[in-house]
Amino acid sequence: MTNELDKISNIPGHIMDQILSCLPIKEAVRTSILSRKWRYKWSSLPKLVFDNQCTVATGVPSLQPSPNENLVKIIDEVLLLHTGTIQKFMLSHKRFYATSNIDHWILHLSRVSVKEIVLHIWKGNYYKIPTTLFNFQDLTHLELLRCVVKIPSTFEGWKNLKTLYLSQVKLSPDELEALISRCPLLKNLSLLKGTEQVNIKACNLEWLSLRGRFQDVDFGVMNCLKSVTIGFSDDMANKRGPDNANLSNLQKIFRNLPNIQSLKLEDYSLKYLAVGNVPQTLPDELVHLKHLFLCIDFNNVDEILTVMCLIKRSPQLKQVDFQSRAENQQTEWIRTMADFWEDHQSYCLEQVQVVSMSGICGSMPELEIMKFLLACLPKLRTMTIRPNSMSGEGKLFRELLRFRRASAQAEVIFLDPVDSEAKPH
Amino acid sequence: MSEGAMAVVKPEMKSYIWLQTADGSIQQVEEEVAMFCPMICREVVQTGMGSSKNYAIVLPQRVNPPILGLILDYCRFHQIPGRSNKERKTFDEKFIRMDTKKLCELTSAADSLQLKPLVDLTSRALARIIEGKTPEEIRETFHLPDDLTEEEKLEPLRNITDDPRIRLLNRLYARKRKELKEREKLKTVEAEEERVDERSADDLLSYINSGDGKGVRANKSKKKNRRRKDPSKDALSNKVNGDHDEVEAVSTACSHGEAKDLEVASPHKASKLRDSFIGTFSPKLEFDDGDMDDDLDPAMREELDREVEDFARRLNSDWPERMQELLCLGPPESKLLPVHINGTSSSCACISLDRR
Repeated sequence: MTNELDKISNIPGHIMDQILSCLPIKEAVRTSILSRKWRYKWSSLPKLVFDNQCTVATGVPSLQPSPNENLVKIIDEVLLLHTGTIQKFMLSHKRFYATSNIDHWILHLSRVSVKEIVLHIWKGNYYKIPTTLFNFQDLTHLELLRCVVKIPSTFEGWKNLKTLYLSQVKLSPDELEALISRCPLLKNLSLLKGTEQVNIKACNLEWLSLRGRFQDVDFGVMNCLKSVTIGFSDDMANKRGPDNANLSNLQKIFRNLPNIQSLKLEDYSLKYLAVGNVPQTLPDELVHLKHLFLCIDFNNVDEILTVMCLIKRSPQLKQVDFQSRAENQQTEWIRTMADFWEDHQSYCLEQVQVVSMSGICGSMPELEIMKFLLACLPKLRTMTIRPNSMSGEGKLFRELLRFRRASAQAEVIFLDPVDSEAKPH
Repeated sequence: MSEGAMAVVKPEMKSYIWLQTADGSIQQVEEEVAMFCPMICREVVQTGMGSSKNYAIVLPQRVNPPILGLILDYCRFHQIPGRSNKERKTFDEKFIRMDTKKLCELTSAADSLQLKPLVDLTSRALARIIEGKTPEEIRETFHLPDDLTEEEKLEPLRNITDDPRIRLLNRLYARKRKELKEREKLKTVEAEEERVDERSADDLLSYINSGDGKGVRANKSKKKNRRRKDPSKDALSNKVNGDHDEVEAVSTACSHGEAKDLEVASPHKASKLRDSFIGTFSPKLEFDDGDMDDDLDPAMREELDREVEDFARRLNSDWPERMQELLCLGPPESKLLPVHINGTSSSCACISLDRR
């Protein structure tokens, strides 16, 4: 064996880091026993990801030592032997219980200018974030699952934080507001459960996702916001209008989001927006809105009106996706809905090109809206329909074939039903 | 313009860039292909080089003509904007099918030309090659010299590579050691005088120290055997018990890493383990270099050989069923308790199998 043949050991360090980064950390560290030159090649790994792969257990489960001990030892050693800065530290082990070791690791990370921290505590008690984390200056990406965040009074903010994902992190609305306001560069924000009322004011925010048992949301002026996903997972028990009685929730939300490009309203969010007097139109056009996703109850007139309002005020809107939320089909609404659509025949929604409908079961309200859309969208290219189940498909086909189409090039595409038991042919 | 029409175009209409590789040879390359490499692009734009043969752009040293050919093939395909993602992916998959040596050279060369997409592609390919292989296999694939000493291999990275297989191996060793001790006890009753080590602690110390030091490979397994012999000696000769304590303390101090030499960095070190394993079971106490296994019955040695080989083979084969099997073999050892080999009070720092 001559050195001539050994080409890989001479690859530049940063490329070697890149190669080793593609391997699970266990394998990357094991390269240290390959040869003399390889002893410390792994020690400058920029990203340290500790997950279930680190403690692959085989054999009789009851005889396995707790993954906690193992993982703690592994992380201790890796951090100790690692040299240089660490770009990313991720701990997401499904069987790991939070321990005080995490505090030590975070302290260590504060000394190596870590930029990304992902901490998922899947089991046991929520982990209380130590105050050292609040002093990280280089942090650009922070992701927490099942942690308790108590913002110290000396918190000056994460000046470089661009991405913040908080899942099941208990925060009061004030604390959340304080947190966000001290992260001036925040671009991506995701909140999953944890708070019930949010007031988001982040002037540089571009991407926002709110999912949880919200009662109310409010937005400050956010001119950079391009994409919003809102998911109210609880039904609106009592319809509460906003403070300003003349304003519907719809207007309240969208007056501050002028540049929005993509909007996703999941679960009961549309119902929330429909609360209050649904306006005929919005004061400002949503000039940049291109994509709309709606989880809708086709029986609810208010919701449909809200959608129509949104579509009318979005001249650039290209794609609309509907997902049926209705649990029970109320057939007594048919008449009302049919009248409703009669009144709105004159709509002409020029801009929409792609429509999709999923969770369809072929009820009258759904058919009515499909009829309406096909008749009013002269530029329609495709309408994709995904029914709930195989049954009733025949009727659906028959009805759809009858409907007039405003667009000569419209394709109506049927996808396999959501119900996986009903496998086609 | 279609491809066919392009062919009719006179050569003078296409512009070329001149490139010089490390060996001095100069070649011309179509402009759009060469400009796909950021480094070449920068050279052309900033310095104006490459327009003629005399002013060829000198490429970094890592780019030799065959590798340059590969890189240009890559550029030629990808610089055409109309290609679909699927086409590009298919091309990439075919493109990286080459021997690992070329792949490494290509990675370095692409990096020196700052062609990031190609660097990413080749890095991922190399990672895929490394992934899942044993150290021996990796060394073979990439022609790496196996130049680490045993103790270096065992230095504190054990926990990363901690493997339930190793713990089980340790337990098996422990059981074997116990068995052997029973047999030894019977034997040494007859020939105890020969067994007792009369050398002073100083002698032992100096021997250990001389045996230590930079890994002369021939000695390494023997060194390990010496370490391991300490506890068995204790059991057999109380006379030198005090000396042994010292010896053990020294040996522990000498190589804290080595002391846990059973918990090896890789479960696939079966062959090396076996060498030292055989030595362990020699009841001979002298620190002689050779003839370690002489006193072992050939039959017993063979039996042990066989058992270890068997075990090693099983380690390397399908794991889960074997684990079950092995666990059934010896109930006391199958619990995860620290197993101390010898009954004496001397610090068993040398051998403490399960410290978890």
